[in-house]
Amino acid sequence: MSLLTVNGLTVSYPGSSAAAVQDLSFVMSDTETVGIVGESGAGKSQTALAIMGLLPPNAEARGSIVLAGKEVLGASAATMRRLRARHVSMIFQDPATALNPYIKIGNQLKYILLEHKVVDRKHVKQKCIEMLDRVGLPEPHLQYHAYPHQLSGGMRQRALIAAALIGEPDLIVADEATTALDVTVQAQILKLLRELRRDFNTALLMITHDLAVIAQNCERLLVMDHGNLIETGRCEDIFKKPAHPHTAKLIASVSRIDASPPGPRNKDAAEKPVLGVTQLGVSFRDRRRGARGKFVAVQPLNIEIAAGETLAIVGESGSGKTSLARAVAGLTPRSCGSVEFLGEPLLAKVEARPRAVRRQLQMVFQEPQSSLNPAMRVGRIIAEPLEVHSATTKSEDRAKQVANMLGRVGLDAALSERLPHELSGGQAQRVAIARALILEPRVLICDEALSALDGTVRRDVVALLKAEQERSQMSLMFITHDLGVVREICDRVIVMRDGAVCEEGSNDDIFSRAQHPYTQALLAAVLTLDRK
Amino acid sequence: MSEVPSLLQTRQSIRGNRLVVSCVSLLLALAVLSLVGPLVSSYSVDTIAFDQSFIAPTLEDGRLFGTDDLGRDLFVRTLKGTQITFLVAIVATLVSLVIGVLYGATAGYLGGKIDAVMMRAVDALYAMPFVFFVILLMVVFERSLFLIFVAIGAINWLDTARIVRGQTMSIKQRSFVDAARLTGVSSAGIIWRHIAPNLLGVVIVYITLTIPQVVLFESFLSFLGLGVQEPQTSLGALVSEGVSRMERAPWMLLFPASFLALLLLCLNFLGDGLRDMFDPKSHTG
Repeated sequence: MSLLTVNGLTVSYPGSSAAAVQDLSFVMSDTETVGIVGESGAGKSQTALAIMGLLPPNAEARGSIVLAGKEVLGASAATMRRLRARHVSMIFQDPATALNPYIKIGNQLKYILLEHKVVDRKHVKQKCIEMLDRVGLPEPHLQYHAYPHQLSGGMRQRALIAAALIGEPDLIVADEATTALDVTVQAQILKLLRELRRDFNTALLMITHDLAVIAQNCERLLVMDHGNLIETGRCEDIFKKPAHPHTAKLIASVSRIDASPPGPRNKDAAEKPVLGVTQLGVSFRDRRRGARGKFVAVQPLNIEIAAGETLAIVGESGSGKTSLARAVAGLTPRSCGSVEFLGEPLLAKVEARPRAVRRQLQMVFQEPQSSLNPAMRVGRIIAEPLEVHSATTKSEDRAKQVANMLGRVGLDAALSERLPHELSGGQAQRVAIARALILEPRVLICDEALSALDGTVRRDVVALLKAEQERSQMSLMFITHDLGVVREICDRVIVMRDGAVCEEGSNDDIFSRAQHPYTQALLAAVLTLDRK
Repeated sequence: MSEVPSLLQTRQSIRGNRLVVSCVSLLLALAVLSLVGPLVSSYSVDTIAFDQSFIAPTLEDGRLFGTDDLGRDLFVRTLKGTQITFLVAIVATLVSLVIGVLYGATAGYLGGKIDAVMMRAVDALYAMPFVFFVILLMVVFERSLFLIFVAIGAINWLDTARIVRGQTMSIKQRSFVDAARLTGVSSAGIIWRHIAPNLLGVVIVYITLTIPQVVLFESFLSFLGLGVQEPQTSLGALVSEGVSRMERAPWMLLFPASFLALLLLCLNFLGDGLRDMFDPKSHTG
């Protein structure tokens, strides 16, 4: 029997010409696992919201969604309330915002049970604790009384899964449920979802941009692009033989750590490092640890980068990799140590450094949209560094340089009149890269510069960075958690954990002969299209 | 992080908002009337004619609003008063805006000890009894229009500075500011080019909420007899005169008071409408 029947679903918004979802039809039977994959703007999240009856009020939905024999589109709030939790529930992307920060974990579960009268009053607490235990929260009777902020990201996601499962629904919709998590945690959560699905006999609809996540947990796959369903079939078949070129592109963009590493760099043995970091540490004041309490983000460490070299700094959230990058760049004060840059000591605060030195060290940030001033046009954003550093150049020369730079990063010169909010994520990140490169820096720090981009766009940006590096022999300091990219382009890798260096070595050392157990765990957690 | 939609993003919704549009048109109409009316009328603002005092409003001779105790034409005086009130609103608001935005943005951007000192200074100024302060100013110096502008502006910048500072601190966290620091832009350049334009949304809304305050404060001063000096007049001064002649000539209170009420109502609605428009939460798309 079919559990969910979506027929001709079209979701559109007034004021936008293209529909967010266009004539989507699919059927899910009981206990089936289906994945919907697509890049941002593909319409996959809109589909999930439509199924849950959570579309915003200004959305116009046509077609039909029949869930457990009831029509969802146009259903009353009371009908939807009966459907949710008992028949369908959702796991959201960000566990930090999906849980109410003022309600204890146990109560968040308890209210669901009481609302839907799943078990009688006396057994509510016991059932909640059982559920918390089932999703792998250690000491569930203690976590029952914990507030969401007292749990780590992974634990919160487990609690959210417990909340989704406690009503024993027929269908779970997981919208990017593991995207915000670290790789090792992601692997655990996916495994948990697999086990629970088997034990509870629920159907699972996974929505993600990451094909590897779907490969681990789903039998069937729907590929969406710009609101349209472009391909559907069994996972294995599609991975082996994608029919649509866009699907093939998506498959190719899955990061792989079995890719071949870059060839050895022809380096001059005598050359001095461009950037040398000696015993650099970063710590922040932390009042919770007493009046003079300190949180050590980076323990004193040493790093060297040679000209033209690409150094990866890998680690999970909280490993101190971003603090390290910001301290080197001079954006965050360092607590100890020194940095030598081009043979000269580099002052701690970026404002104190001479202009001529400042231009040599640039940075690209994680969120492309927030790294561009929303009130400035693209041309002006890229020209501003030039204005600062060569005040004498004529404005026509500058305009020419900007147009030239836009060409180099693969953007149309006409874009220079646009405002940042009129750009896509990939275009915005290219503009950010153009702004950094126009000063011809010797070192470029990329702080998770690829994380916010779609897979296919990510590949293009990686290629762009590599080409620029070949051209100018600049050094790249690549801060990331994406091991696939690291394998592909980095010469040397530093693995960080809890503010300290775990392991350091060449690309091959790390990927083929990892010594440290943590590095091995990181590598083991990388998802591939082959089911584990 | 709170995101304030830029002016350009909101342009469309401004057109769509009927309340805002009607308030703006009413204000414009009022401004045009106050400029053109005195030119068209055959009476002047300061001609005293005792034989024509206390004429009730009538269509004859163009005495639309009647005359006051000194026989001056109330229509012309009300419109002249509206002019002055508009002028006070614009100049005093600009004064408070320029000081407030620069002060707040500087404190917010530089942060640390400088911020602490600057904001404690604001706190100290808040603690001063300002009406008393302004009255002293008026007594010590001559009563002049200019002084009123400055005095009112100098009071209102405190609020602006606080709001701007908070907004600046959130903008400062965004990475385009970090990028500007790295590329070598000076602190002044960052405040001017990167922070100030992104404050525009908040500031515009705040202006529309400041103007009514300024207008009210001027009326209050004039009502106390500390504001604009005869033969110049403002709506507040006219209302004050009207109150004292309320029983003999109610129109002397009625007309200026209606103008003042209309002006304030429009500005307050405009502020509310704009605030809704710039509220990120009202933008679901």
